Amino acid sequence: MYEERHHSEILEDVLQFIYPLIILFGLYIILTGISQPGGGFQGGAVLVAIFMCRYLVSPREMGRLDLIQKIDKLILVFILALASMLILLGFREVIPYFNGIYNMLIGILIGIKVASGLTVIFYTFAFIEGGKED
Amino acid sequence: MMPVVEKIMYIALIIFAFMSVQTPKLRRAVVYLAVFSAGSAFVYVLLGAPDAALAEAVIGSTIATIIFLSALQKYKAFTVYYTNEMRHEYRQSNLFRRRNAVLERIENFCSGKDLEAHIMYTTESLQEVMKNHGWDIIVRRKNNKFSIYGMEQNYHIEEMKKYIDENFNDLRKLGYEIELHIGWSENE
Repeated sequence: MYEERHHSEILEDVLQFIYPLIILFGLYIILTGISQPGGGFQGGAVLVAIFMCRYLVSPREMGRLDLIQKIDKLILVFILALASMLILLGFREVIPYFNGIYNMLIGILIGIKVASGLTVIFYTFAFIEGGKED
Repeated sequence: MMPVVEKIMYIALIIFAFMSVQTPKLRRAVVYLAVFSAGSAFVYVLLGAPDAALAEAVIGSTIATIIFLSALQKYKAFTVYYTNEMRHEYRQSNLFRRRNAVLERIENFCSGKDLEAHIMYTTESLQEVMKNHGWDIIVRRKNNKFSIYGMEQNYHIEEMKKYIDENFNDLRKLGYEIELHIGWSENE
């Protein structure tokens, strides 16, 4: 009964069309965040919409939460490594246009980090906390 | 021009914040909160902080709203079937204009117990509803007689009985009969 109530073909078809637009918009916000309003945090928050849409389409399938969690932790390590590399190794003098590249890289990493972190929060909340409705 | 829009937005924000606190239905409160969030994002733009506005719009009015709504989904629904065998159809406009006093009180009972009342109007007979649908209570009306049916297994039915004994006396004085049946035989 639950499945019938929540499964909507209209929603599914429309969302399939919208997924790439969400990804494009999220990436746009992340990449143009250097010179415009936006940035990693906001773009990552837009990217979470993908997983939320998935939840709306199929509220019973959790997906691979452990994988997302691992990505989340791995990206955190990358961010810390990149930041400490900037301070310790002194790439700034060697590589031309270092600031632009660095900003873009850290923006993308923060975007993925925020997206996966918020996804973990949302999925934990939606599937694990408080039990399921029946 | 700009300060006027700003002032209007400030007033609207206060109104929406107040409404979201004051409204009795949680679902409505969530929607008001989302509108409040979108409004505050607009105010951030007017104040020259597009970065904060973007974050507010994405997180405040989208992600927080979805999380609240999925929390409300876990919130227990209390399904009430209302059947009136004298009628063959219900007009939508009538349903909105003249709320049934009995159903209204059941709704009050539910909101006091932190339940969300889902009221279904049906023209099916009592037996059909019992057999074919999932329900918590059924309200049957026959002229001036309201019969409320519930199962013993239902967690809230004892408190409902108490509530009905206490709060329906004024309707009884007006000539309505209201009774609660808990558990019954098949042929009833």
